[in-house]
Amino acid sequence: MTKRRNRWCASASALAMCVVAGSALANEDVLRLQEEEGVVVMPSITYNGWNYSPLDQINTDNVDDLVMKWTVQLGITDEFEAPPLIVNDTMYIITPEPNHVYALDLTDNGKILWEYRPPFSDEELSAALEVACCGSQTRGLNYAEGKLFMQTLGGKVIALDAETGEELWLTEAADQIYGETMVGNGIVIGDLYIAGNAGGEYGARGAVTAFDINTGDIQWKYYNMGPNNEVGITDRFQPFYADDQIENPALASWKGDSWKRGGGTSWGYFTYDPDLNMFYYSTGNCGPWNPDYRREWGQVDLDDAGGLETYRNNYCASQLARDATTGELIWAYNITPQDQWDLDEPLITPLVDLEMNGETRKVALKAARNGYFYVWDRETGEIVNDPWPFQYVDFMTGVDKETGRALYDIGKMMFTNEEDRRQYTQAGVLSEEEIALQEEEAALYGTEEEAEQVARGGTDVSWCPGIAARNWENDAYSPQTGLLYTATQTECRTMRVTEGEFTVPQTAEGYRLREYVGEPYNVDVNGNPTEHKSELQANDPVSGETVWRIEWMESNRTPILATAGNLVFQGGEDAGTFRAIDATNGDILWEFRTGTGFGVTPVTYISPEGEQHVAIIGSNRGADEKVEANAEPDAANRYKRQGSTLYVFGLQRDMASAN
Amino acid sequence: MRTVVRAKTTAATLVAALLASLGTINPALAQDESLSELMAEGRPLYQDNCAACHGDRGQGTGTAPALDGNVNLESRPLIINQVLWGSSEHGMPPFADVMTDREIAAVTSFVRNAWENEFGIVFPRSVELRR
Ligand code: HEC
Repeated sequence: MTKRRNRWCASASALAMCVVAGSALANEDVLRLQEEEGVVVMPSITYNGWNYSPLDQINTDNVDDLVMKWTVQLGITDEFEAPPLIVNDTMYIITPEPNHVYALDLTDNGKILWEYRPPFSDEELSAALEVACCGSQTRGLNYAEGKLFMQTLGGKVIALDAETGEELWLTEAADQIYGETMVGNGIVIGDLYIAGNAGGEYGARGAVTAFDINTGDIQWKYYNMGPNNEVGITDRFQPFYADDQIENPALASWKGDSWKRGGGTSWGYFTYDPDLNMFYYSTGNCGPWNPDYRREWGQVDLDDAGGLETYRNNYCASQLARDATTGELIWAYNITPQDQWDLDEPLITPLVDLEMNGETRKVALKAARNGYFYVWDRETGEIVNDPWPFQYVDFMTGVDKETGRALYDIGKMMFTNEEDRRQYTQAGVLSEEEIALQEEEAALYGTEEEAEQVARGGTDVSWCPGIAARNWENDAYSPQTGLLYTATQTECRTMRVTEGEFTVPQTAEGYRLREYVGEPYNVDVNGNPTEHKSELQANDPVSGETVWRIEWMESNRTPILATAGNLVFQGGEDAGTFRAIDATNGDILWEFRTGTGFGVTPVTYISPEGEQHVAIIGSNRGADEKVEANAEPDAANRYKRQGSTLYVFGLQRDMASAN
Repeated sequence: MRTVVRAKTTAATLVAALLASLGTINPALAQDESLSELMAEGRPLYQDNCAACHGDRGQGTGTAPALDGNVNLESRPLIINQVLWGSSEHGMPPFADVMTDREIAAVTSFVRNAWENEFGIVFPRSVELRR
């Protein structure tokens, strides 16, 4: 311990903080391992969240020679979203709920060295499943100092001995009464394992918690909204924009006590800057979806440009930066204030140093779910680019660089009641079609209950991106190309918000207070109707341009790995194929059909024989998506059948030499 | 559905129009008959297409929320739109391309009236209107 601290403190840039903080700072074991080529000890490979491997044996010249080396059935037939870890010739894999962990021997074609199954009672399990919004996925495993750290859906945080699979400690960390679950994201910094929570659809209040990696004791827990002392706001909180430089910013921006179930959970990934000793994450959608429950009912205060002045609901759908030792909030930026479009932002915040306007800036990047591309100074939270839409966005018209405010189109804002909406906009309430439909149905059913159902209607808003220009699936950043690779989508939607029960604790039933209307529609980046549903984009954070894009006709949004072989690897759930793509120009160089969906980042490592391997888990959600037996070979769901398998690939010539 | 809008008609006027039409048919009677028919058709459709995610008794699983006792199903538009178009972001596939209007009416009628639920019928026309 002491030794570790000393070595880290010897580095000049960190010295000041060593004196102040004394403990924690980066975990040295993790710092050392993340530098080792082909070792993977956290979900995005390195603290900076690049998802970039320096391995280049497999490259654009020879990727065509990839062949399958070995494969393992993973048993749990649900979508895997946690990238495997690689350390000490062992691959570690955590399954979705019930969260089994496997240690696979890389010296022996994936022999299962041990398997760990967390202790659950049936009651515990079903309680967790009841409040899990969107499936029972888990997104990561972390390694440090011979230990593995994991979370179960139901909120057990567990440390295992990486060599034996023995459970070292277990801490209960989620309150399901309040809709809280855990989805497996975490980061090890110093002596802390820092983890988020999930459950923003059902009344949970977003938080991050730090566990002592040796004992499992909770060192601190800070919420993303509420009173200063619960949010970790001290005099070190120095946000860049005036909207946040107010007293109790995470409390005063909420109506009444709505912050208590305000969503804004932390279900995405963390990144960390060891020099600043700050960690970065962004938060989930505001809860409930209907904003009338979080502001003066029916009232919206926009400035002349369209920036929201009141009830900004800090800090859901926001970017946060905290001190990694104490957990204190250093800066925060509300990306989509008073979010009412399910614009969760819990996705990776890659950290890079960029030449911008003639100077080197330490920045944090975000290809945000709201469709805009942001570059912040990661020390101060100042926006240093002109945020620009990488997909078509119509609920926002831009970002005011002075105030930092997202600029809204009032016609795209949600109101429960028509009268309220009419105070601000003559833009649509119900479409012609919807009105005709409701009239016809009223006659068709002709009961009094039906009359009530029609009245419950609310007002309809169609907007893009509905409900995500991209989602949690990890980006990759390549220092070779300077590009950020992101899986995006083109969908827009229509929704209405409704009145309903809003109490704590909430149940899955009666909480959402919104419903979809009509068929989703797809538009290209210019807003023109398009048939393609998803894209793989390569975006230049400096020039603010999409350098290349691949358009997928079927939905394809899966995490991305970049390598020094000038390659990008991505599972293609549109066609059940695993692909290698030229990182410079987007040419598809190699494809392998596994016939499955994909939810997990590919991983690459050096095999015990010294050869680069690349691995991916093919998997799909628990149930078969409905495919008719006689569907076309390229039908949308054709390759989304149940199953979960690990596939490991290497260059053909190794096979020859091994034989 | 996306662009043209009319300002005038409100939910309240719709309710008035609807209540005015109440005298003209005997909906309760008509619905009883077709409801039992649709539910019979809907039960196997539910088992084949929905149970794996929502549980064979609508109790919910890790993959999808409970449908038994779920007050959201009171909204007929909600359940029809959900089954037709899914919410792929949250893990529910769309069924628009793989089920007919009648099948979707059957399975949604079943779900709205199975177990503890008592939310009433869904006519195939309601599905057709939302395609
Ligand atoms: C692959 C898994 C899966 C299958 C199959 C599936 N669903 Fe779902 N369903 C979900 C998920 C996940 C949600 C939650 C979606 C969300 O939060 O937006 C959901 C939500 C719903 C809802 C809305 C519940 C609410 O409270 O808002 C209804 C109604 C529904 N499903 C009905 C059905 C029916 C009927 C079928 C069969 C025709 C079906 N589902 C098949 C996964 C599935």
